[in-house]
Amino acid sequence: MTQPQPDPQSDTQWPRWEVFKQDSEKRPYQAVGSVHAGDPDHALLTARNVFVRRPAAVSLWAVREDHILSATPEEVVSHPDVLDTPGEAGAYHIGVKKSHKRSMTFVDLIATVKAGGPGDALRQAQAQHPDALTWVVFADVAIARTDDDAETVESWFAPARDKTYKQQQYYGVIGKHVGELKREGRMPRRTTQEPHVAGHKVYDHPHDQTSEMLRQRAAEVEVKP
Amino acid sequence: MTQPVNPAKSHIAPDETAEQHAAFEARIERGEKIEAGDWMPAEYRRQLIRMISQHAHSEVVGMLPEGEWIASAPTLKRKTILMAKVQDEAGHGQYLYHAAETLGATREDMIDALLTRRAKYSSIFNYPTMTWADVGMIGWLVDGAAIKNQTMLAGASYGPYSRAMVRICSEETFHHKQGKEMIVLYAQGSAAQREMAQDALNRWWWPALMMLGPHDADSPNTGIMSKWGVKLKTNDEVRQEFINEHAPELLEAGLTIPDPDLHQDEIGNWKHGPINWDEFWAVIKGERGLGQERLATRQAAHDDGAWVREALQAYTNRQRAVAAD
Ligand SMILES: [Fe+2]
Ligand SMILES: [Fe+2]
Repeated sequence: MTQPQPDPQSDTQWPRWEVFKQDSEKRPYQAVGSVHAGDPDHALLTARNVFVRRPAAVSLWAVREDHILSATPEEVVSHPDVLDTPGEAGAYHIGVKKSHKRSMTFVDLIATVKAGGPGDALRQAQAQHPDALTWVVFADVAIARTDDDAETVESWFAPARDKTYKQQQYYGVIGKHVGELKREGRMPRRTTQEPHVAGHKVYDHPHDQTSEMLRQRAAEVEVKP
Repeated sequence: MTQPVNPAKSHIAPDETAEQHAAFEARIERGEKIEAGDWMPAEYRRQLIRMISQHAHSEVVGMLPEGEWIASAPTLKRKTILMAKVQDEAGHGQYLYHAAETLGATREDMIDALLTRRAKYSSIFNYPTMTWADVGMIGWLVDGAAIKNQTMLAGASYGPYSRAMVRICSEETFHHKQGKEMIVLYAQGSAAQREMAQDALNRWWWPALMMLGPHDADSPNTGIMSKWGVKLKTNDEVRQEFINEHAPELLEAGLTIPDPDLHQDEIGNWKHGPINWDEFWAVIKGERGLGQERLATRQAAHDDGAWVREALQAYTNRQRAVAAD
């Protein structure tokens, strides 16, 4: 989040927005990546098209990079004045990075606090989570967010799940020839192993689920002519 | 692209230290993900921008061969599936451009590099789609080969690239399965359908093997990027995985693989005959295949989209002016 800043004179890009996605009401907002966009609506639309093509979501936040303050423990030691960064008083969201190894996100939003400004919010983040690898704070008023009424959630996020033909489970095509080769021990081992990234099967998004309905649909389309 | 690796070449830039490199390599050794704001060698950043942007270009140009068939799809079901697949490829391009942007690359520069041939994209998309069965064969073989490569890259050390790959792989699996389902159906269908499926396999088998890149001995960029945890397998290893999965399944479907030398060795690996690399390089350079047409189509799409970018910019300027009042 503290990437090298391009020279503002030569940077022709729209500002960068960090995108936070909530998978379901009970889960925290998580940093999923960034988009470049000219205005809040543009940022949210781009975020939806880029980060919610399949995975479950009920809400998206986009926060422009210049509204985000982040620091590592080392940076707080070398530049302690970051804890005095001035700004508006109000509600601030706190995010932390707790592991270097997580594959699908790197910052979870874990608390909302009342703070006198971004520096104060950072100070509270540090006090609450002294063991974090990075702290991230931004004001609630800085968030561009999708509406949380049922209609918006439905139209923004349901199609990613409901178009069953876009799900791999819809197509149940497994070769019996391959099964025979495996039983006879003539398939090289490594092609039979499911690839994993940090405990997740790569082929299945962590939030994808094989429902019984999908399996039945797959069985229907398998009827041979 | 054809220079040999120089093992003595230092990857430490003048303003970097050996200690910084050692700390960076220790992080990779521990399996940590490198994130956008973390310290990284300039060479790691440069190579990643090259890899990720070329990967993005491949996804975007990859829409063209199949996109041509949307209007001619034989049923509404197939048309819906194909539209979703082509839309996904646009989305993959977006994930990847975004991932490259986290490294400091700009969209404008990347698009310019594609349109002016400074950057390459996968040679496979310069082959023509001659019949409807090509759509199914591309799904089965081309997306199948892409999945093998992308599954490997899902484990890459750069966080944003790795995350993009995990999302892309779950979508590619749909592309792969819809293609396989279609071809298996045709291979067991009427004589005309069987002939169409076999003809598609004849034309796509070798390009699919080639798209996984030159043999390891001729692959100059592999060394340092495998040390830095980006390229976790060599081209030949990925190609072997691809053939091991696909050869038995194609044979089971009743198709003939157009390689008289194809055979299984003692440990079960399917071994292919010699690959025509002259064709590969000629297609990459645009001397053969549809390179000119593909880029002209991209250029036209870029020009036709200018008014959208201008409108967004005008709206942004207007919002700023209102906010400043
Ligand atoms: Fe793709
Ligand atoms: Fe694909």
